[in-house]
Amino acid sequence: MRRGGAVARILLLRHASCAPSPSVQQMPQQFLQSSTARPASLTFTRWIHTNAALRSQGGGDGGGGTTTAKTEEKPSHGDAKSAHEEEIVDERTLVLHAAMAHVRRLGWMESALVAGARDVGLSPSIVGSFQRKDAALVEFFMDDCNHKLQEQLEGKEKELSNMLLADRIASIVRMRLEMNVPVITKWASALSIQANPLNAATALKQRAQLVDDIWHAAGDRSSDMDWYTKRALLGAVYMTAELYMLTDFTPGYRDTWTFLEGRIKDAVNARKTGQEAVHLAQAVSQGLSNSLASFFNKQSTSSKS
Amino acid sequence: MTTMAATRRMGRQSWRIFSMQARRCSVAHDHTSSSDPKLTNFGYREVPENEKSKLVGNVFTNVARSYDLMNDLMSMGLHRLWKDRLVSKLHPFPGMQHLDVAGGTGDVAFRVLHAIHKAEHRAVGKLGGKSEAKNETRVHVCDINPNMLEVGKQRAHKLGLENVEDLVWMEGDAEALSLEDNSMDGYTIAFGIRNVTHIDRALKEAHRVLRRGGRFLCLELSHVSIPGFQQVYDAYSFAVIPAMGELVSGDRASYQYLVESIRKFPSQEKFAAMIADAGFQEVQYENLVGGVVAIHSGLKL
Repeated sequence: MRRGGAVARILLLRHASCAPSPSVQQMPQQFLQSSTARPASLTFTRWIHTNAALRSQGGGDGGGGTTTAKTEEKPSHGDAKSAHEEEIVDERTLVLHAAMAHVRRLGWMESALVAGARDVGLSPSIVGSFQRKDAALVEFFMDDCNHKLQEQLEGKEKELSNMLLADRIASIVRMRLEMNVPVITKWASALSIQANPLNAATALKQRAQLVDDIWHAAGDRSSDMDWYTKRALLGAVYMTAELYMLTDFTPGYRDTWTFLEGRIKDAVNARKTGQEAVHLAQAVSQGLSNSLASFFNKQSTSSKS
Repeated sequence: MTTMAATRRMGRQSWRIFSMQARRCSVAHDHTSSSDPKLTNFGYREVPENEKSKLVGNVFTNVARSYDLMNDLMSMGLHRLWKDRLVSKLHPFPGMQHLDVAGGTGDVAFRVLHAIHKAEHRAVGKLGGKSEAKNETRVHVCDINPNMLEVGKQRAHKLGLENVEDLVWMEGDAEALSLEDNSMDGYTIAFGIRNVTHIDRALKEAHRVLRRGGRFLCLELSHVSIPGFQQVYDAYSFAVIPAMGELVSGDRASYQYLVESIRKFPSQEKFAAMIADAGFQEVQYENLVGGVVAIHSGLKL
């Protein structure tokens, strides 16, 4: 939904830039280009409404009866329109929400979406209008969980600030991993969907966002090269713990949490090792350049003599 | 032979002159309110509105027998791929109530049914039991022309589908469907809306019979605007297709009507605007073979 709002806002800007153009005949070509690209479907819808509005405004020559209903949709009514577009996004969100209840039984693919659409009283045909249907539900779940994590963390700031860094991170990662418990039997297939090259870009983005959120909540405000190593390390830890959890049958996932703490300690150590390695490399390169310099000096002095 | 092959690769159809398009737009859009509401187009001819359906009826009565053969010849077999694409965009599901309008020969309906059965098998495999929605599936084939329906029924017989209760044949007009409001999940019309007298009424009907969340999909010969290809396509459709029609079905006039009616059909954007006017959301279209055909889709919410 947040994303939908963003889309609507971008569209408003776009819309504002083309609204003054009186040449309705030329607009279609320009919009045609963008409408063939997939994510711009809403753009095209917007164009149609704009077009209808323009037609009804200047349509003395032939608009007449067919467009009178659209007269209130003048381009200036952008807010009403964007609310309408959010509604479209909402219908899909409703279906996705309802479909989550069927994931345990039906998996992440279209049958869960079809069942979800039935639950909210929409025709399951709407599933056909989803972009990348197979990944839609997994991506929705990831987004939803990341969002929930944010909310939970907001209430726990004080509690977290009293912990050591490693413990702090461990408890946040655990909070997030616990959200996978309801769908853990189907989580392996979700991971394989995310690994599909078509979906990998979104999956990576969502994971990067998650790792970033966790570091942020853990109180990290760094902006140097360390930023990357920290995120890469935590990403790896999160992923391994996530995989470990798939085959963990201990009550309450006890083993997973032990494993997670161990890996986070490793990561903290690895980061130290990494820093040491950097120092070592610097020392070595310095030494090497010194000896090279002296070597060339020697060469030049010997050639002179 | 080589020119044939070249044409074959490129397809057919064109986007004539701007003025013509503009004229068509006014005809398509304003026939309820324009100065001369009684006239509509039949190919390049202007005919009284009440005669168009009769004339179109004659065309299809004449060509019904050789219809599929001619489709294969004219599109060089591509129409099969286009229909496959249409159905894959529709994304049928078990228990679907589908309506295929102007689909007398069953081409699209059989594909939809096949896709539903496949989805059913997937679902059954996953649950290890019977699919709950199995007996609710209905694919309605609606056509205004009984001859075309007859051809479809014969084909269903050949395919072993004559006793399948999922398939419902009905004679009916796209502008006045005999189905209830909010009763269908999907609506397809392939190469049919061009022949309807009042396109806007047909679109309103589609919107009426669909449920919330239901989708409208239209496959139609459309307008090519790629320079060069457009000329080749024009030459192909005006020189080759009518001659081919004469040779195969002994009826030049019907195929002359076909190529003319394609030019008279609204452009992609215009038609998309008409679909939106009928109340559909998220109207999109996809051009195939450079615009020889376009698949328009809309969502009822």
